[in-house]
Amino acid sequence: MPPTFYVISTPLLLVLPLFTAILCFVVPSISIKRYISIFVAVILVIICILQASYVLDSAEPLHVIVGGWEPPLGIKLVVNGFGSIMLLMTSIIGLAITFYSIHYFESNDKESRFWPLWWFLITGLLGVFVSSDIFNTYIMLELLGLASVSLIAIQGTQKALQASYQYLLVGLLGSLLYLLGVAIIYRTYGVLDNELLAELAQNNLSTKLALAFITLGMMMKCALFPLHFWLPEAHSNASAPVSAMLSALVIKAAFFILFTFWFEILTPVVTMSAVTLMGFLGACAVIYGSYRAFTAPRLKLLVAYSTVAQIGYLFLAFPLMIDTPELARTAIIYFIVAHGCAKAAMFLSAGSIQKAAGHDRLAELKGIVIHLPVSIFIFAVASASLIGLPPSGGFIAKWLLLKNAVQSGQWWWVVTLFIGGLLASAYLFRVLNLTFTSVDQAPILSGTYSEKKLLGAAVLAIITILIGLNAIWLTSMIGSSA
Amino acid sequence: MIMLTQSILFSICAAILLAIGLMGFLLTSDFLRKLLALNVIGMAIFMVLIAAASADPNAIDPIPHAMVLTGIVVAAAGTALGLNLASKIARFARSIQNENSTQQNKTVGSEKVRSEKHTPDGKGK
Repeated sequence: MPPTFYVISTPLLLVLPLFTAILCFVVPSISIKRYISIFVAVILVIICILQASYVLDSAEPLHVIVGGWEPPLGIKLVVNGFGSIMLLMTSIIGLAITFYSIHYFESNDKESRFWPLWWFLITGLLGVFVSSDIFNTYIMLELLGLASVSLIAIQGTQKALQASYQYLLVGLLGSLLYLLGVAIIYRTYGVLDNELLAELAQNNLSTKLALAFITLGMMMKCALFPLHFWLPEAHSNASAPVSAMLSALVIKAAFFILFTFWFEILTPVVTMSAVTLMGFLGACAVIYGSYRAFTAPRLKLLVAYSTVAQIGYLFLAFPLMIDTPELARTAIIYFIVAHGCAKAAMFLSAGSIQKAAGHDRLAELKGIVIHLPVSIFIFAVASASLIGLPPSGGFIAKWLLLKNAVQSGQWWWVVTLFIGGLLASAYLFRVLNLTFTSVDQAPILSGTYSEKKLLGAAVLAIITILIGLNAIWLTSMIGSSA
Repeated sequence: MIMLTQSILFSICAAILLAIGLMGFLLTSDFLRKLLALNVIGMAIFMVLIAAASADPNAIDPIPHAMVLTGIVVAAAGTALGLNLASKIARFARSIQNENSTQQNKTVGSEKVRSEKHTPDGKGK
């Protein structure tokens, strides 16, 4: 039995943000909403740090049976190694973006709508990572989806509304396909609990069908090529804090579910040809996404296409899960953390550039570094991690993938890694080249702008470097959690 | 020959509904029809769950009923959000249409009418 603190704090991860969302909805004053949000975000970080250290130290998952109702009837919450790192990442990135959001919004109207939805989004994310019941996961997924759609829509422009409507349709179809998979599983096995299901799962037609539906649904939600069509519009038209959260964490939640189903619950039906197909789609995503990022005319669109490409890397590790599961798992987790921090920092700095310049058309951002040195610096550090330059977390993540591919004898994935890294440096240096050179042509910025809000983004950029420098500590921590 | 039990009948209906819904979603370009098609797909999945509940006609399983109930609530919330977004998009489209028509009227020569007509419509909440 784990100590009482951990038993109580796990349901608190759901109750606290949910309660905060309702409170932010009711409280009329914006400044009180901000204070509550900062306060709760800090508490969540503390809880997640304690939980992660407990779970990773004891090297066994934390089981919490809510209300004393045992599965199969009750719903269990589980924090496992992967989940605890995702929780920690969510809470830290959430805190950084919360800091940023306080200074971001100009209109009070928009901001007062932002806070409740923001906390519903965090509830959904934390819920996906602690849920150990496939139907409960569906509920959290829907909460996450509806909150994301609404957060894009509060931007209020016609483009944002259209993008959010498209995102809603794709998201609903994705979660309905997931629900269909759940229905088939329930019909076949009669249980919903992850661990009971993992014991019962067999290789038969209905399980294969269920996994296919769930995979299709989650592929839509995490925008794996060729189902990525909704992502660039949705992520580039949202406000900066929302874009950062969607790209860094929301698509990872869908990936987390997909990963859990493939390699923890329905493992008997996973075949080499299936994982190779996923790896192939990932490789296509890396190349196609990078190419589109290179030709993107707007800064935020470029960053959004970069997300399409980076998601591909996660699926490159799927074929490696068969022969070397330990290594591949570590690489995936490392990649998620490195990309999450870098992409959030990048979207936040892109948001501050867009705000100061009034637009994000790349051709008109020449020499803007003289006005916004901090934003461009954070963008550059995040770029280094996305490209995979040495001291950053992105380098270690790609190195782990590469080593892994060679070790399991599937060297052809290495080619994709190289091409992807090359293309990433091409599209990111395109931005840096434009912003650093021809300073004499720098646009004159109208209005006041401050880079004070970028504190959170700066912290995330520092984390991307730190996790590169502390690679051995982090990999051993992840490795022990299996 | 397989006996046509209630469970099998429901499953067949669910498959037909699912096919109709998916076709509607993928083949129409109308945004509202897509939302309706999603609701049809939702109904199909609820029927799969109901069929799972009556797999053994002597002992009806109540858990799928609870799942269907939750699913209906989620579907209603999603549809409401979608309709709200659609009406906002339609308002934008209408204001652009107005703008175009007033720009054509501008040749007739009333700048004043244009600016008056714009303020209530252009910036909907």
